[in-house]
Amino acid sequence: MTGSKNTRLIGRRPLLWMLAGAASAGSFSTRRALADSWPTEPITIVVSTKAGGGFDHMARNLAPALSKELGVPVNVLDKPGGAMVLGTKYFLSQPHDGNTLLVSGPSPYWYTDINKFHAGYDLKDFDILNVQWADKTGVFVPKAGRLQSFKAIVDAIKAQPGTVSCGVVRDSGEFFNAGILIESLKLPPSAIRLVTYEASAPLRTAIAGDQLDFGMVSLEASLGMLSLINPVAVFNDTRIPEIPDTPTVNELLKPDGITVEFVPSSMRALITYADLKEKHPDQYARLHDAYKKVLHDPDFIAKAKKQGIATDWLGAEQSLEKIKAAYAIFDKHKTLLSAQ
Amino acid sequence: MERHLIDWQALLSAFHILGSSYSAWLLTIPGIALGMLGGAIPGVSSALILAIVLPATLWMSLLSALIFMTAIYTGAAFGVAIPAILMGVPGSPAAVATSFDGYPMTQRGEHNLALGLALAASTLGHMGAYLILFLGIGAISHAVLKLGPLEMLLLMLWGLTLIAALRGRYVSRSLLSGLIGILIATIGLSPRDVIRGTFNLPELLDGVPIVPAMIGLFAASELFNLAGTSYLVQRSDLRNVSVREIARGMLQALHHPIVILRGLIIGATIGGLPGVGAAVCNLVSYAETRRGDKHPESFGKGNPKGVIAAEAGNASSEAGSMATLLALGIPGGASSAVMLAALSLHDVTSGPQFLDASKDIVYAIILNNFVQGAIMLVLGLGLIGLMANVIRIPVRVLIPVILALATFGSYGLSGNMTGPATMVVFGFIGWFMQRHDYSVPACVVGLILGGKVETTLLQTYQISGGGQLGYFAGRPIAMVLLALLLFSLFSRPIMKWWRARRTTLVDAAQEDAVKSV
Amino acid sequence: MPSEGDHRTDWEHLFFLAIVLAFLLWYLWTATAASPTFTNLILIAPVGAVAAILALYVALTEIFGHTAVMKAAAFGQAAAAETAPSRFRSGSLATIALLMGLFGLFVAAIPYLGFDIATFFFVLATLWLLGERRVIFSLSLALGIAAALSIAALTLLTFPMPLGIARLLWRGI
Repeated sequence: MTGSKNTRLIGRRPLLWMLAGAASAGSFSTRRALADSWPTEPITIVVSTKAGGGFDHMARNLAPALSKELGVPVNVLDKPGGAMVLGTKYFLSQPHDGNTLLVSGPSPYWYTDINKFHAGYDLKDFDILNVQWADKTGVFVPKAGRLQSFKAIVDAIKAQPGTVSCGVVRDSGEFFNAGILIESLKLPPSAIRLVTYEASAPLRTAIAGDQLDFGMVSLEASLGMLSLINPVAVFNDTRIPEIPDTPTVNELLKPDGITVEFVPSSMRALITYADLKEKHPDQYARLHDAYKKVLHDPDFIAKAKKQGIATDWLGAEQSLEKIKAAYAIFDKHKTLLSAQ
Repeated sequence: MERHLIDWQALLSAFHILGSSYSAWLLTIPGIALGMLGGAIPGVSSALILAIVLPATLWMSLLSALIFMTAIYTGAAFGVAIPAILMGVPGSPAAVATSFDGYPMTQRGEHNLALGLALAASTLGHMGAYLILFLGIGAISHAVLKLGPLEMLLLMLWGLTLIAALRGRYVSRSLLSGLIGILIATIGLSPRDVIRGTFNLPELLDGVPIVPAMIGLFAASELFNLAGTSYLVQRSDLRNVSVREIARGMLQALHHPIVILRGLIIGATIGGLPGVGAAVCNLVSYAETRRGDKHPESFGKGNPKGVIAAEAGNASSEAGSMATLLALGIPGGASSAVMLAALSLHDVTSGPQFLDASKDIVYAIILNNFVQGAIMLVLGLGLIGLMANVIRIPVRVLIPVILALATFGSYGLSGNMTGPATMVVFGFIGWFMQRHDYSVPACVVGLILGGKVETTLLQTYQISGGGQLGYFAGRPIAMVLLALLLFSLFSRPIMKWWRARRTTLVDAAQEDAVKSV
Repeated sequence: MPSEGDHRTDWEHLFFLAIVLAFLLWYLWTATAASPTFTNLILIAPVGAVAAILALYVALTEIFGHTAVMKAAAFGQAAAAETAPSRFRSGSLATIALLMGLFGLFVAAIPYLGFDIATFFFVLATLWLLGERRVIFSLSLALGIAAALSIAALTLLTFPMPLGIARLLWRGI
């Protein structure tokens, strides 16, 4: 509170200035005090997959950096199960404040969770702070396989439909892309023998062992197996720097006048509650700014790169757009979800 | 992959690394002790202990982390046999078969002997398997690559034929148990993400948690049944702990090298198959030893060979799963999945790249594991001497304590109440099953393998374009496996039939001979 | 081979079988309802069918006796009798049933009372049920186990466990 009204030692104008200065100083310090009061407790990042996967890795990488920015310990809690449903539900069951964050996969995993597994939540229950790390689909063939290029694969499928085998991880982005690819080639789904795997590691092994003619699998983790599998195409807008000689699928299909509207593979995002902005705007702002700062810190970026973790900053709006765009493509191919 | 059997340069480098890193050695002994103690508590499996220490490994070097974790795994592999033998309550599914003959031995007062047998078999199995790993890690991973869905299916079916071998009193009831086990394994998401039988509970989307189910089937049911008895060993004069007897048991194990060798090979090879863990190796080794024995009916009543076979199979599976983990980046089961997590926390993607680049670290781990075996002998002798005193504790104290611990372990494994709830339900089921001569091991085999059988069956269907014979024709390995499968299924009945036919033929010939004279 | 002349029907067994059969039929029905396709039922259908037939067979052997059914089905030799009869036949049924009940109650109570409090009462009750009458010993053991497990839960597990008062006590320390 400012000085007493009974003071007449100071003239009116300077008093007013003094009052104004004091007022702003007072409210500034009060605002700072309020902002400084959060966070006071440790923050938990819930990861809806098990320890060791890409999501967990991203969270554990982020935690110490966020901790430094926010001044409180940041812990990672893995809550796997039910194809990400359990962890996500657990996150929603916590108090809706800034003390709990979520790292999960709104695309493609949540799409299946919401539409097929009746998870009970929806995209609008969350505020996607940022999609930090989006993987891409790669098309790989065995080093000793009979088909050694994308063209060879397409030709074989067209020449002898129903004989070429393709491996995908069930209900993954790659699974959808395989269906979309076949559709774009104006072929029926039975044109390829789609073999479904439960995780990408056994799929990669199957490709490496020449059990399949080709496989579509998340790209980044496959880069460690290049001695056994050959990349022949990537589902991306541009070529990947790690494998610069591998063309994009649309490059390859351009001469035929075909454009494949593919979905991104696993999108990994840092997520908070939809009502956080409204209920605790200061906390939301703090989180948002801290996270943005971390992802723009050159040291952090360099360190993450060494560990193979992406540090993309799209921001909340663009992230949501990207997710919704993917969902729109999924919706177009909804029949693939229930396909057997 | 590699030209030479042993990469001498990497080996030299491995010795160097081990010699200069004492943090790695410092962690070996506590790791083994931790594993043994944790494993000895029913419900606390190595997977749980590994999951608990995982965050701590962040601060260790890669080598130290892997050595610490394999030490825990090694210790736990033996630790789980202790309650299996002393109480008939396996510490984890990996010691299920150990209890078949181990517990009857305890009831006869031969618990010290049984513990000694188990320790020796476990150590020898462990070290032998790592030797195989040392010589053949390239070959093992290469072999795993060659297995397509059809081959895996045949291997899983072979595992299922165990159900026939593990039968209890009635074939029909054991078969029924096994089939029910398979069906329960299919609860949850199908390989094509169809939701089956989950009562709309998201907790069941991943299916019934297998380890709590098995703890319930074996441990809980056994503990329920112990209510009303006073001590585990009825005769008080036999209720002693004798380190000498234990040592005698260890030496006696050496009288059965074939049994150990068989268990060793089974663990090192099958243990490397993804999804096949120590539990299956434990059971397969036991079943195979029994199948090939002159007196199979003596198994299940306290035959030392049963204990040796089970433990050798169990201990050697670690090396097998390490092979696929390091060379291909695929976890064999829950425990190796945690190790995979540790690897990725250290920014290592295991796989052929890793194997080529870091051969020396791999060798260092293998060498350390040899030494782990020796350490375990000494540590084991001391610790079991201590833990065997459990038989002096009255059963009425053991039951509530172990049930509480097992509940804690089940919660730790599943992260929510699904674990304990499953344990309770399967405890009830297990008790009824045992009461009416339904083979619980058969159910367990069905539970463990059911999911993989469905996955590989479906994949075989998909990859062959809907079952077209053309696919099957071009797969020689599958043909061999099929022949082996049929052989092990039908060899005994066929031999019996053949012998019976021969005797009738001989009798007929003799009769003719007599008549013609 | 034991003579089956004096075969007595074990109703408990039939009851158990009825539950098994009910589960089988329910599961077959719900799996088919979820997706009546070949790929979904590729394993469940054959396994379920064989299991149901087996369950009926076992039920028949229980009602009419083993050899009778065997003869009727024209099988070869009876399969039983190589191994000893079940250990689970002896023992006090009442105690076992009460123990099972207590255990079920214990697990059901954990989300409401917390693991620590539930464990304490469970250990106490079970000790008394099984004949332990030393009061001080029982109380100390129950407290000790509950405390040990609570500490383990608070320090070792990375995810929370429902605890009644342990967490508050822990924070206080």
